[in-house]
Amino acid sequence: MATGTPLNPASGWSNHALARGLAAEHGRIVAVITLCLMILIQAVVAQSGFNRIGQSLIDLYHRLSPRIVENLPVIIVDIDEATLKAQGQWPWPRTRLAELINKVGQMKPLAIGLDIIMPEADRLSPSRFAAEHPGLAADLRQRLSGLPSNDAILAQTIARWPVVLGRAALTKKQQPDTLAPAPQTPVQIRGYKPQDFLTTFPDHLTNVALIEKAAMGFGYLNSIQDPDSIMRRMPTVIRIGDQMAPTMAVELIRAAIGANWIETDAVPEGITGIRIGQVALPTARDGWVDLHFSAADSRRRISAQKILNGSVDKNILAQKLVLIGVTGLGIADVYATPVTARMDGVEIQAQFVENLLYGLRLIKEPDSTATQVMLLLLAAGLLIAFGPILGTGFMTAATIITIMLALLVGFEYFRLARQIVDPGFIILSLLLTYLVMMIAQLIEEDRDRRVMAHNLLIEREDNARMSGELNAAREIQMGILPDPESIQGLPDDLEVHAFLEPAREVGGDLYDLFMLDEHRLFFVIGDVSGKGVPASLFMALSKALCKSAALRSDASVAELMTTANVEISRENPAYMFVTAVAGIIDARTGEIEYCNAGHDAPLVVAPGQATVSVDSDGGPPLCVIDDFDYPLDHARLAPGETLVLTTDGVNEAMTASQKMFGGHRLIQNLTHNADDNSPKNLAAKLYENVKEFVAGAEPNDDITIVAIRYRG
Amino acid sequence: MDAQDYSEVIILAPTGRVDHTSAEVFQTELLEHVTKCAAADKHIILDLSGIDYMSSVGLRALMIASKESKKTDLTIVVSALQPDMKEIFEISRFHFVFKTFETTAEAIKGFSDAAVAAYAAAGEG
Repeated sequence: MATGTPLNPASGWSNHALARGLAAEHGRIVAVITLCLMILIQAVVAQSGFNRIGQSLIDLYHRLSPRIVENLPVIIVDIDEATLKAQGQWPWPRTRLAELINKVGQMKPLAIGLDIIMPEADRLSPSRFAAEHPGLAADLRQRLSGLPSNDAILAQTIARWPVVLGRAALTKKQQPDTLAPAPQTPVQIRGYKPQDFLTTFPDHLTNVALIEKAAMGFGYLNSIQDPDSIMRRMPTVIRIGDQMAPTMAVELIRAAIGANWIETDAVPEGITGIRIGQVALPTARDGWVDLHFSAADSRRRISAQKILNGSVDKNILAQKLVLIGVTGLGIADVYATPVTARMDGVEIQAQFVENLLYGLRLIKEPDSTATQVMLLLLAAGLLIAFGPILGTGFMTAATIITIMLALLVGFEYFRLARQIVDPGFIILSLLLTYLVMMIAQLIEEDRDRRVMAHNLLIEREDNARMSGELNAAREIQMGILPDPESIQGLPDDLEVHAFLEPAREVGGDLYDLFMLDEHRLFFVIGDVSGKGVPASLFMALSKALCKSAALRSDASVAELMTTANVEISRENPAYMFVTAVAGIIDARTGEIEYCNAGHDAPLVVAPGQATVSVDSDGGPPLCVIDDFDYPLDHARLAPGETLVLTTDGVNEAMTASQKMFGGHRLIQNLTHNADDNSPKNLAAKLYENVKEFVAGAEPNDDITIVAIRYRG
Repeated sequence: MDAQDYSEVIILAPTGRVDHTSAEVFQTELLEHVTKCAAADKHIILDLSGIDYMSSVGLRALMIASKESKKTDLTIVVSALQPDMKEIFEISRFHFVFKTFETTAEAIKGFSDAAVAAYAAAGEG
């Protein structure tokens, strides 16, 4: 059924140009573009270094698999809340710090690092005190001025023990064009020059010269956070202006070993590590170490108060590296790390030393980007290639499995090899590919659903239209047929019945019965060759022309037929033809004059006799030969006899296996029922017989039976 | 539909039933031959010995062929009707439409000697 409606419903989000573009080739095109973009982005991100998403995944691994603390080479002497409470507020007079260092030193540690910077002279020194308090008695002031300064006392103490002073590297110059001159621990170069790879600071903060002179080494304390404010890595060697300098952890180890200098190992691509004496400590290419953190461990810490009041085991610091730091309230030296949101700076320094000493840093090399891209292409390729074929279930399962696998592999690398393999890129890219493919599928499904719904609608409309057409045809056909029970002026001598059952695909059977005058009944039965509306219309036209010809004149039935033939032929572009029998029966005599145009011969049913057909010369069906001159025939019904007219819907009724009812069964049936031959009864019995014979087969032609009984 | 040339005569010999399922093909093929023969100035003998049954749609095809032939000098005759087909022809009075012959040999006698000779030479006469 032709309809002008497009197959794709124009409405619906899935038909939007964007949706159509996304769903093109089952989403493969957009998925491939997405994948390429992701790889491009990854290449840029890998260059720039910091990848927030990937980093947070590594941090998760870090929390799940923190460093297991087996040795405690570093002890923190913690100037904590309790110490400050007992000894007074920070800053202390340096004499008190000297006392602490002295007590620590007596416990024989390998080295003592100060997580404290003392850039200015102690204001609590006796001479400074006297200078700042002019109201004091002159003799008291004189005596105070004669006492050694606190800084001098601290310097004396520091000189006695292997002490490393803390310094701070500054990102901005304090004073333009000057760099405070200060001695540095020598850094020797092995292999390539490391300077270009190191982090450079323009200025630094040092201690009072007097104290510095007494120290064994100087370590920079800087704690530098990543862009997301999380502390993950620490430098081993930095540059202060043009000079290379070690950080606190390195200096502490050097002091402990007793080495005189530090060496850098470098290749053209960057730094591979540092050496302190015979100990080689690998680093990242920029001389930094990616720390593998453990949780803050209280076994690392001893309250300074306990050292001062001597309430600890005397051997607790022996052969240890000691870091003295301040953690008491109000001292804001706290950082976020991957394993905890708050970790003291001194704790981080201690963990840095542990990482260095035992080679426990996290390893970023070798760069796994190439391998990851390969794996991604494999997984995403499978998704793009087979997703549309195997469906959304497959895509979801494959994506989940791949992501889980990537997460697991990343974790195992971290846990077993401390290697940072960031699967974030694979996961994100695959997830995006998956989303694109899924959305494309959804779009396609929605469109298919709409198209299907639309087609169903069209089909329904077609069916409705078709059945409407059939109904229209049927209505034309049935509407113009007269009711045989109510023929106006039918004499008592005549009894008539007519029956027409249209086939499913409406045919073009017709009949008509009307009185020409008070005695003469005109009858016609016909069959248009053809089906559907055209046949019905043609049938209606034929019937109307027959009737008008019959009513118009006193001409014979033969002349009527000849006239009707000419007139119908004129209106017949579709080359249809009509077989018909038309006749006039006189109620007074039973005489019939009739004409047969290519139709089955009329039958006469008489009680107690065999049914006979009424032979005639007749002519071809109407419209076959335009100018045919139809002959007139005569017959006569005896009282009690019935004239039966049928169409080929009766004798050509067929079973499913194409067996035909046939003319002899028709005659047999009528003969059988001849004794009880009311027209209605004959028609009903015959119809019943036909239905019984075809045994449910769909009739493919109209069935029409007209019976006229002459009572006499 | 089998077609054999005998001089200016073509003998068409369709087979089988012609009912609502097969009438369209029958009609198409028949009319193709009518058009061809009209153009080639030939005539048609429709040998219906192979047709067991023909419904009104088949008869309509014959009618259309007849109407088409009348627009030209083409003659169509029908031969060798089976008993059932004979009855169908009698009921619908198609002998008014086509000249009918008992046999094809008889039918060809109405055409030229050359056609008769060709038909005889083919061993059919």
